[in-house]
Amino acid sequence: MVSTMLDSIRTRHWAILTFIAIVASISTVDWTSATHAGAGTSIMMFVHALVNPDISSATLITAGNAAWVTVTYAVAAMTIAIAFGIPLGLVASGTLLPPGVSNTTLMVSARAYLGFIRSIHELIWALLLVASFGLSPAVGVLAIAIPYSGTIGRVFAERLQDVPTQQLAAFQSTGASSLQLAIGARIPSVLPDITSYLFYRFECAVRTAAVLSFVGLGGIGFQIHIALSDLKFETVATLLYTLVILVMAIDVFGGFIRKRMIV
Amino acid sequence: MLGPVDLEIIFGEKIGVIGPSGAGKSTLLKLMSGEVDPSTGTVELKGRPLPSIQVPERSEIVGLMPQQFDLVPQLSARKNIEAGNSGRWSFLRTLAALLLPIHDLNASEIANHLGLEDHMNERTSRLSGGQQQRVALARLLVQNPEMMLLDEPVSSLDPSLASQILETLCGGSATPNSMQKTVIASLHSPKLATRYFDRVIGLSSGMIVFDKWSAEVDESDLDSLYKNSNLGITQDHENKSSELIWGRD
Repeated sequence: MVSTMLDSIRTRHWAILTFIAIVASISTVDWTSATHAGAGTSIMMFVHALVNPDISSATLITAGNAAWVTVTYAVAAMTIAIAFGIPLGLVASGTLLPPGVSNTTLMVSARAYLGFIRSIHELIWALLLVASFGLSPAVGVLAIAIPYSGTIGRVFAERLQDVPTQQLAAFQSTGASSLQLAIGARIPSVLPDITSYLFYRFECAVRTAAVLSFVGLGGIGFQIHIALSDLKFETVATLLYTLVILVMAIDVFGGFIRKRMIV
Repeated sequence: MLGPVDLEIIFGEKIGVIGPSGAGKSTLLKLMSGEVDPSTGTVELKGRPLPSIQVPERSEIVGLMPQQFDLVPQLSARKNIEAGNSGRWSFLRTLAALLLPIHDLNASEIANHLGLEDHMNERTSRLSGGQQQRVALARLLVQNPEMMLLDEPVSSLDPSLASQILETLCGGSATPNSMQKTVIASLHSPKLATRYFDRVIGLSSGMIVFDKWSAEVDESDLDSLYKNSNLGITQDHENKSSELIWGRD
């Protein structure tokens, strides 16, 4: 009785503290710039452009080509990220080998490495890589691939650890070794989930590739930047719609693959 | 959920375990397969303590078909059934079976016998309960251990299919895999147990109420078995103590 009362007081205590923290954070931001005189006109111009995108053939061709370039870089980045992330995730899950010192050592090292590379954002990786290698598409692709391999590895490792133990025990009782268990039960169990996650990451890679145009990637982000500098809002709208269609298409395609997946 | 149990099982016996829900049937089978360790006492297999028999060898001696099937739902029925070969197959053979369209003929034959031939390439999670039950059964038959433990093997099947499968398991009809095997199955139906099995064990609240040849089981045995459970006789549910010696030729 007393402990429940204490608990509820403690909960209320934390709720109030959280509320104060939120209010403090919001009031710290300088909101005056967001309400300057010209903002209304700009927003109206942009809304007008969104309703009337530029659908001239020249713009559509530019948008299509730019989208293609962006997708190409995203595919390249994802290929590298998967090639490194999946094997690392397998090691980091600690499910590949029977429990023991060597397994724990491998697991902890892989986790530490994955944690390190993914805690640095792709934009920071881009800055670091540009500082070392200069502006080039390869730098942009690597800037995406490195942190993404960390995220993919971590998610893959977690999914592998979460496979229901009953299912695994039944499989193992047929005489399967740890490696057989991994390829026969663990990996197939997580494959549909991890596939849809990889498609989601691919979406993210497309968006990031668009943002990273400033390190020499080209593509749709680069075109948006040019159109914005020229104040061609209608062209910007076309490019934004292209990006939206692209991301939605990846989503639909991923769902299609996932539904038909039988391992 | 199992009180003190003392059982001796001889190689080749066909035993039906019956009793109300929560009687400890599943626990008994899990103890025998080594999936669960007894809190006190020992389980011996062919005169050796069960924990001392490592998994690859154990899978040749004993296999369990769990009540919940515990299949890999994302795999096709075929891959789940072929998993029964794990103990015999090398890592590379397993990998080849998963990646290449090589079909294990023995697995196909067993699946055909269970009427699964049209569902082999379907995702297991999309199969009906009865079909999944047959996939789990086929996996155990492919594993082909000397002793087959089956937890409610026909609960999701229609009566004619259930009879056919129990007949197969208990050696009534000719199948290469079930002859000369020890078969222990838990069942909800006393009728099926006495019809297809040589020996019937009645469990209630974790205790053996009777252990008889099926011909000797009469109405009063069944009455006492199911009446006890309704009265809710309390047993020591914490202790899974048991003394199991089985597989003696």
